[in-house]
Amino acid sequence: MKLTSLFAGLFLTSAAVAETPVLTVYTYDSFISDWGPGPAVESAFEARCGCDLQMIGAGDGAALLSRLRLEGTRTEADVVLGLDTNLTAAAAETGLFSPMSLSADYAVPGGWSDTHFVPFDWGYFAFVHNTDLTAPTSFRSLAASDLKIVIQDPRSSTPGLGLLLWVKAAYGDAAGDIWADLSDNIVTVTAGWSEAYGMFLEGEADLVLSYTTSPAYHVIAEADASKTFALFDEGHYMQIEVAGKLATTDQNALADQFLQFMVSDEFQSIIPTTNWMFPAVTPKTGLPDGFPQALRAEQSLIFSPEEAAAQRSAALEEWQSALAR
Amino acid sequence: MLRIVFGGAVLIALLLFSLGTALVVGLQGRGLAALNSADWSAVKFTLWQASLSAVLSTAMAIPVARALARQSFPGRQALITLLGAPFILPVIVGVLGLLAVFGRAGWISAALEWAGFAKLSIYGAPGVILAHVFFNLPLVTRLLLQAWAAIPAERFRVAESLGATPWAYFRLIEGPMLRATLPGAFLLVFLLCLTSFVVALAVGGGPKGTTIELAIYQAFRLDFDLGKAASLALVQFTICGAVSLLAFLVPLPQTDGLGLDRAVQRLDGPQHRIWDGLWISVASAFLVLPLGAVLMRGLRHMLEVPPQIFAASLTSLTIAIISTALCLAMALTLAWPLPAADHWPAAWRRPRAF
Repeated sequence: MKLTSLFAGLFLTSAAVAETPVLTVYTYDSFISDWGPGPAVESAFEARCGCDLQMIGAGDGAALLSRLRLEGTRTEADVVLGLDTNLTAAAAETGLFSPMSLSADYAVPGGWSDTHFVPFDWGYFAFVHNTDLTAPTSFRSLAASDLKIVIQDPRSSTPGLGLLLWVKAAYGDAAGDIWADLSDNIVTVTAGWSEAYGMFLEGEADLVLSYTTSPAYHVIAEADASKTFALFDEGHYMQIEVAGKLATTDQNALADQFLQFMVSDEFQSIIPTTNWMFPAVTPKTGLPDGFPQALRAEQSLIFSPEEAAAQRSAALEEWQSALAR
Repeated sequence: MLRIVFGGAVLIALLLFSLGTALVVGLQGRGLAALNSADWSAVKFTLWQASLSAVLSTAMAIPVARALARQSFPGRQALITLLGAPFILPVIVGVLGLLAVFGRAGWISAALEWAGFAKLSIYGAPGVILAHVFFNLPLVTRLLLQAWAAIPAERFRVAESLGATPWAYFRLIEGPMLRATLPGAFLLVFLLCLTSFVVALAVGGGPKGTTIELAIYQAFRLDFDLGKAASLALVQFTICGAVSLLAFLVPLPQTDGLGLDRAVQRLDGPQHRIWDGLWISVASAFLVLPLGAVLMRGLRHMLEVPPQIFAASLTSLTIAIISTALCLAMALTLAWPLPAADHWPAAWRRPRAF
């Protein structure tokens, strides 16, 4: 008797669960941390979709793509959120993503058109420093100074890869020389962003590779105006973060609804002060006070996804041999 | 019978999970041809830094552990407890603590600058070794301290009554114990340093500080070259296996003799007071200053800790308790059938250092 009711109970619970569709979104870890956009995004979307939004963290952007490639068509994911344009060429090539596009009033410099992915935020890489420093104005002036910098390893960190492509985009064939000149300015190269930024805050270096929006974090979250970023004459490399729908999804309509929600005002207004990036579509209320201005279009550097994929290995070897000397 | 069945099941499960996955990885690998010159220099650097870190950590732990074993002073127990701290500290916190003392903006650099000298720069190989010794010296010290405490007190009393010289002490009592304990301790530190990559990179100063672990990370995460990742993993596995085998082959003397009590009352303490005091002071300064730096920074922000931290702490606690229980249960089940295997050749039953 007891056993029967137990089974009946189990059956009823699973039936009740089955009525609520589950949308599985793979994303990077910091997106779903308590300080990231995750919690607010989840409650806002669940309030309108009548579904269970499950966001699963899988390392960072590059680890996310590796996981998808491992899982292939067996993946549970319906949507992947958190790749950037340095990864989208490889991601599209897997054939795992469904072709799609969403029209919105994108604020991404240079506009947006892609056959598989939709942007949700973007930012510029930049060297962050204390306001009392006389900042360098270019990679060349940085290399000529005795200022010390901490950077991230392009092999293990997204900002690190961004810097690699930044130098490549700005200097092309001369990138190797720039790295050789920079090598005596580099205190160390860390595995991830947190170690580098922590070392900078501890005073180990004068500048750290981060984003133009990082000083805004100190202003808005900590009421500390002592940090700013160095504006470089070469322009600043951009990172555009995107999401895509898996071709194997069993929640097609729900996935579309989520991506539509992603470019809506509600989602986009969560981004600036949780992910500390520029929203892909500027919210009606504008950007929060303390947020930096977007740079002019000619100051924005970026490789197309295909170029980024084609340049990466050679740029990495150049970097390695210049710094291992 | 039952214990053999349980123990056997756990053993088979462990072997399947460890060697089974290693075999699968091995089959995926593309052999050593997949490795380029940068990978080989990563292999060399890894071997070099892990060996040096392990040698220094174990060599320095000997005088520190001996000093702690034969001296008694107020705060001794607290210091021994504190020795456990670096090992459980998140790596990045430990590194930032070390940098607060030894970094470019650290206390030593500040003192040097004040005295008119150049700043201290530890980045590069010295930093990697320094950090690895910081994390592992306390661990080995604790291991050795336990081994020292396990020497029956009678031996020291007999040695004392026979008027043994310090050399005789070492040769007859402490030497055999060290020979039994050090290979295991060395192996442990070697393996920990072999797989470290956040520390090696953070204070390693650049791509020169690349370890095999980072190369695996790159092959998997950035290049998605599973064959190469497998080849690199196999190289790492082979090195671990070879070193484990070496440590296993070191002949272990029988150290466990009969003793009536376990309280170590060393009569030779006073004569080594100054030397021991020096070692204890140096080791505690090396350990306590970085920890103190972390604590000082942390305390100021103690009241600003957001509520999410408490929920996160609870999650960590839950995971830790469950893992400990599982691990203990499996280890006990494994150890259980061992005494029953009386018919095993004597050599198999020799006590091992780990």
